[in-house]
Amino acid sequence: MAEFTATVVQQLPSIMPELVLAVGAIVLLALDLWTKPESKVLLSDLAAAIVVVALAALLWSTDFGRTPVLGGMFFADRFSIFLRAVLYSGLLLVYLMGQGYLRRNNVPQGEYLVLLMFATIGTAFMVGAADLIAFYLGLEVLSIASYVLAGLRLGNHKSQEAALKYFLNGGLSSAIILFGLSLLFGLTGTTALQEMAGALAAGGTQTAVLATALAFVIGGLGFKVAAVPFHLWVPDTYEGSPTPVTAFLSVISKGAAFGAALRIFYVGLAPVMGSWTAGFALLSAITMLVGNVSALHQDNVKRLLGYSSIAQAGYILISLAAGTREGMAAGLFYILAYLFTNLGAFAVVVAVSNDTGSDHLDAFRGLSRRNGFLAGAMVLFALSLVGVPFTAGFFGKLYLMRAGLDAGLNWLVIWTAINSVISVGYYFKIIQAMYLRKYEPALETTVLGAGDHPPAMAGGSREENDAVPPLRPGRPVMVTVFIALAGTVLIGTMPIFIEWAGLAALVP
Amino acid sequence: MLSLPYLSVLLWLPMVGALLLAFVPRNSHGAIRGLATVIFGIQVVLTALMWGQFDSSQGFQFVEKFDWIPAIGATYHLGVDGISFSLIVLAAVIGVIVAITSYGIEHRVRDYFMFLLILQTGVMGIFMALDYVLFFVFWEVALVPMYFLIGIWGGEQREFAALKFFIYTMVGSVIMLVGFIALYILTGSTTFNIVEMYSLAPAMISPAAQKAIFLALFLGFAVKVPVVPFHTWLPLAHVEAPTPISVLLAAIMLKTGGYGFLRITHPTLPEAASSYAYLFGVLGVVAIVYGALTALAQRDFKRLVAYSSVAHMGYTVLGIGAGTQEGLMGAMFGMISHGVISAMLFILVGVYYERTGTRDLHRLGGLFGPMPFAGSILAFAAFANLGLPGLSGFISEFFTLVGTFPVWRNLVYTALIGLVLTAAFNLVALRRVLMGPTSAEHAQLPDLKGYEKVTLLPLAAFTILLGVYPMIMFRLFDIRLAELVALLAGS
Repeated sequence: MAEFTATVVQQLPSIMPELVLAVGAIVLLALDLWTKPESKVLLSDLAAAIVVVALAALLWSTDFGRTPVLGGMFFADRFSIFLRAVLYSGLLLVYLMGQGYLRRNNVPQGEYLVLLMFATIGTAFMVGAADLIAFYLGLEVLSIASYVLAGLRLGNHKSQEAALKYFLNGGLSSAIILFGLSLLFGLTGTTALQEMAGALAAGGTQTAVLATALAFVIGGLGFKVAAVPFHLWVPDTYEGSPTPVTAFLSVISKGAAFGAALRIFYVGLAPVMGSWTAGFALLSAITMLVGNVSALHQDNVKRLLGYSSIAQAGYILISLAAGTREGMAAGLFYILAYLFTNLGAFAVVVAVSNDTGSDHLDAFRGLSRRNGFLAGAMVLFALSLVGVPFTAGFFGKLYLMRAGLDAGLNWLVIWTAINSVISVGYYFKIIQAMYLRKYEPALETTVLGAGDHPPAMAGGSREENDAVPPLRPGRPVMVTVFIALAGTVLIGTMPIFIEWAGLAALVP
Repeated sequence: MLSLPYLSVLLWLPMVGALLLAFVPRNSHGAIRGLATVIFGIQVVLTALMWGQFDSSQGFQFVEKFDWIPAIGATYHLGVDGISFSLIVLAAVIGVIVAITSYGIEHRVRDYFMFLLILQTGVMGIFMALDYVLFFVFWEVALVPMYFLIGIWGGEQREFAALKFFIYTMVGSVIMLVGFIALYILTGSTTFNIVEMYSLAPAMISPAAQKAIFLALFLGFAVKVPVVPFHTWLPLAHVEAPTPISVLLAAIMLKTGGYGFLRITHPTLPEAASSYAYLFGVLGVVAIVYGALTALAQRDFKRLVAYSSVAHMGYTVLGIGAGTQEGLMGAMFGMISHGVISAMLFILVGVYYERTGTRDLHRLGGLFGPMPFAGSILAFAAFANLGLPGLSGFISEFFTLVGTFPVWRNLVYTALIGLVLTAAFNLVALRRVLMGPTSAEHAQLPDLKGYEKVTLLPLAAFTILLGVYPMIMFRLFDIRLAELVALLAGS
């Protein structure tokens, strides 16, 4: 008993950040009961502060290396520290961008903050999981919180639709992945990843059952990362959810799922790499194509970014198709780069939505005259998503392409290049609206029905329009855009980030 | 002289200028134009100082090399040899001329000059970079401001032209990127250094892979030159772009493609280059003849000059294909000469368009009378364009054809047809614009203004100088090109 206590005390710091978040969430929940509606914004600041403390705890935490802690459930190694740092930073930015939006869109602040925090704790266990059970627990915590978060725009039928679709799809995929995990348990006799690798390496596992297990696990994870054909929930859920929640889903939820996938496949299923790398390559190619082509038709920016994130998931899948340490490092780097870029883009969407009440492309018209900084930042985020240099996204694609070529996936790399060009078509629709179109005030906007009606249309005009009303977003949103912009540019120019990603990548 | 890091200053100065402009109030047009002109002017001064110290027998000079991303072997590596230095001089001179020509822009002036300055950094970076990743960064950086410059300040179809330009060039460049990464991996994944790759690539890459990579790189550069049949973005982009941007496109951007061949594809993969040499020759001649024929058929003055650019770049491609000393000298000199001459032509097209409101050659006419100064320079430019001896165009065409003659006689004969057609379309344009009866509405048009003279006269002077004393440029790159000839012949 004393030994057990000693072990627990010694290993507790490994999940100190998660404990901070958990306690913080409960405190927030309690405080929410006693705060008046006008003072809710203080809760938001408190939540951000809690995340900062958690980040600090993370950066000071001990690296336990390849040995799982907490009864073999959790890895507190560089991989998990890197990803948790990325995810928590994302959460901080999501908190920052949401403040003004919540008020305008009838989202209950207390529940929103608490649910996000719990969801992030779930992501921490997903990326740090040393055991399939821990992974599944993390997945469920994340998912259930996400289902509710999607529907938090009270009284908005699109939000309710989003939540329902996500829940139904998610419930099914949870069952699928659990079935796959149980098959893996049956095959190897263990749920611990390292032991599983040992069992598989010993050989003699039935290939048909293994293939089925892999298929189910890939399917379940594919849902979470929004790979084709498991992506059908994405457009409606992304459109209907409150925009900060969409940002969270597209970046943090997806990043966690990728992290978990990297961990499970590269650690637990490494001995049977030949069976799953090809599958991921195919998945990657299809996902990229469907995501990019479908985005070309979209008029609603949230749906557009939804399909864009499907395509981006396709690119990240290259890291799983490569089967090399380089591939893993590239994937980790891309998650980091993508986090800043996508959160920045969504922050701009929030700013525009707060001002115009609409998520339609036409709401972006003339943004370059109304707020040059926001428009310029959006251009950089779009360029980063396309993969144009001076941005993090370019280097992300460069590393992924290098990993792909090195692993012999020449066709996939060329396919990625082609897809990047296709994606120009829809990212540039946003740029076109901001820079090449004249601003038109919206005629029909309602706070609750935001996003359904395009503002009044007018042809592009070259006249000087000095009477354009400037767009002044709230300070938290501007700070978010600024941090995201700085991140996108710095990660795209400074070498230290790829080194961190390289250090975090595990040797398969 | 001062020991400045000349290249870095030259490179980043416009970018710094763009950032400074963000703080200038958007209505102070004078201050904006002044600041931009000063920055471009400083670039000219810097290149002049560098010229004084340039020694063409020394290989790469003004080299700056710092570690950038050790994890993949990418370095911040700048350096110039004769080929890149001559193009940098051209870019600096054209830069200041474009800035002055841009005084006519009245709409969103601050945004315009910011994009222009960022574009200049991109272009300079392309010519200086000696690291593949750095090269690609600047290659793409030059694309983005061009999209905005055409899309916001262009003509009727500007948005389509801008998007077509961007997507076309981007397809080429992503395939080029795949080629770069392939080079990196097949030489052991150690370095992205262009200079080191000269020795690593032929040694470590199989001939079949070399050919495949050559084609990938070729595609990226071919779109920019533009090599027929990848040229269809050019007429639209040139016509829809505002005058100063057309000048920049024709004079500088097209040269980045030719530079790519001389800096990257041919020195790095000489075997593949030699095996595809005839393709280059044929494509060059096709461009010369097809470009001239199409120019002859044009009714839009600006489109005519655009196709003329396609034809002239054909000489560059032909010269590079020939691979002889004279051929390469002609090709390289042709890039400089065409830069100067096409700048003059596009400025004049803009001058006439702004005054008469039309570019239709059937409606322009008799314009020598009311605008004799402009007419004289237009005549001068047209004769330079058709290769009149004594002017720079003749030197480039002569050398290219002399260089090709020992290798492919038939191609030279075909190119001569193109030469005649070139004379034809230039003279036809001249006749249509300047001669004939002056219509009443054109009788009182103002002649060249001060700032227009400031841009055109130096260009005319350069044309004469280069035509009479080409050694001034030849001296910069003859040794380097001789090395390239030896390399190509040896494989």
